[in-house]
Amino acid sequence: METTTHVLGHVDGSSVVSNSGTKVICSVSGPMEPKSRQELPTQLALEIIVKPAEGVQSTREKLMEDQIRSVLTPVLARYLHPRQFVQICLQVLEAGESRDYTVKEVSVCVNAAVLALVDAGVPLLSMCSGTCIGITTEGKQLVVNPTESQLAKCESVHVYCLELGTNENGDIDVRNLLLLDSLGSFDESQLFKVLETGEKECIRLYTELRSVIKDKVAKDFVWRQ
Amino acid sequence: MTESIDIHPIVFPPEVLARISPDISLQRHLSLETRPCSRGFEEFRDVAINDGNISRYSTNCQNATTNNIIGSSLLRSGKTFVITSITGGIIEETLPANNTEDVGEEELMKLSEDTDRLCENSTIYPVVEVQRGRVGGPTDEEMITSEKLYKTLLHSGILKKTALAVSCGIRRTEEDGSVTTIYSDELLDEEKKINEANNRKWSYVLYAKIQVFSRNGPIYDLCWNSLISALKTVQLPRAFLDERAADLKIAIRTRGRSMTIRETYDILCDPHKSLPLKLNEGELCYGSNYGIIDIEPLAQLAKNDDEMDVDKPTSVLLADIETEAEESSILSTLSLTTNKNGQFKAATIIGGDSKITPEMIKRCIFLSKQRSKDIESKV
Repeated sequence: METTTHVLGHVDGSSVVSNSGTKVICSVSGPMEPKSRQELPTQLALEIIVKPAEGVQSTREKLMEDQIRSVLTPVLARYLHPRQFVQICLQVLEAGESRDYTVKEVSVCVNAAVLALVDAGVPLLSMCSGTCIGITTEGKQLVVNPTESQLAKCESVHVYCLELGTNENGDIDVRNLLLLDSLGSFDESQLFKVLETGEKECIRLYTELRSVIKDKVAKDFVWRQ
Repeated sequence: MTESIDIHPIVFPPEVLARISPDISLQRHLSLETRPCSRGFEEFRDVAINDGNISRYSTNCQNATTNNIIGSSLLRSGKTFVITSITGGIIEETLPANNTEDVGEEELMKLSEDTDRLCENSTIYPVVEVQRGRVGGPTDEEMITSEKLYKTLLHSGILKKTALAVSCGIRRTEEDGSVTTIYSDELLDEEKKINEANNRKWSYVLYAKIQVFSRNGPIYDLCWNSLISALKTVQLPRAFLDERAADLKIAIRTRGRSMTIRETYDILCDPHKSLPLKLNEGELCYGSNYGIIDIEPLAQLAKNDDEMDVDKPTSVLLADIETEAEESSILSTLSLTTNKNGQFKAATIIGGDSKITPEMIKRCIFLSKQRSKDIESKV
């Protein structure tokens, strides 16, 4: 996974994340004043916009937005900003998959959004990371982060996002399963294998994201030393 | 000067509490080991499915001549009704210009199948409408449900492209003026060449209009079950060309080049004859949904003092989410689409607040297999 943060000047936070052929640029604006219909009396309102690599938004992007929203909502400390609003805009630069799939885009979007939220300084309760997994038709092998051609050969495809944190002792703490979205043909044992493999991969991505953020904070706050 | 003020606790009747504070209302219900809809924790709503007598091929159809619905289903689950009506169209497939023989095509299909699993799957174009007594553009929920239905069906392999291929017939006009239509599977050998001369290919496309009435819970599973039962009733009308289209060629010569012009005739649908849509029956599966919610100790109703609640579970699993209280307070949800043997076609697990443990997923899988078996027996 390759990441860059603070790439856009006119928004509060931004990031570019690319992973095996999928590349997403994300911007975060807020917390700011919402339009009256978006305002929530006790919590931070969230708007997520996904723009596809080709063409205009369709129902396909609406479904992606809904999935990303369900991942990010529990991670944000929404009670800290009542009647406020955060806009997260995700532009897919390279889809890395055909229009019939969204798994790679969703998983990269989640990682990009988390980095951009950290860049914008929006308070989070924990971190999250997302990955995609395919199970091949022949051999029933699990492929983590499949390429476009591998994805087309998969019998089932899965997006997996995990809520993670680090406890006082410095150990990685798996807090909850945020999203598992599976499509295709699979059975119970394969589902649990996906949960197992996904957890390992998400923890790996989490440590990667954490080191990126550590470097970023060290750089951003160099004036405090 | 000083007046004593009596403070009375405000007591709301249950229906008012449910409206102003659905989360507390739900917690109170859970502490009584029941739910706002007065079902048990793992109890589903009753489901009734029939074809609703909407399709032109329904047994009691009154308007078969004007009705263009070719498959339908009426699903009732609790108070919610889901009506699915399937209509269709025919599109001509674009073939390579020099496609003179058909022999290699099957091999080509097989070859591309190895590299792209979805190329042989087909799907349906669904439009979901939740009736709320107002007009306007589709809501996010409607768009998301439609897209999910489309994608799940595409990836499931329930509907194959071969099932939607049109086997085109020929309409002939005899010398005495009588008109007959002959289909390729009814043809005599010498007549087959009429069909072969015509190397155009068509396929059916299916559209589904799914209307949800009295929505009071998540709708995806209801829509999916309704869509599958509607697809099972689909009859594809037979289609034919006029014989003149099949063999009429006019040779012309312009500027020294010779070419042929074939008169174009539209493909027509037979008003009487139809074939059932062939679904991949072994792959059929049905959906169900679950919610997981933490028990809030503070919101519990007071218990008798002698009652010890040490080994009370901290979270509960609720099957088939219904009512606004449950839908707005339960953020951890599971939606599983499976058959009775545990072969999945789709699964969505969202962990909003309560922790989802593997044991809970296992329990949901067990319940969804039973639910699927029950629905299968009713479709």
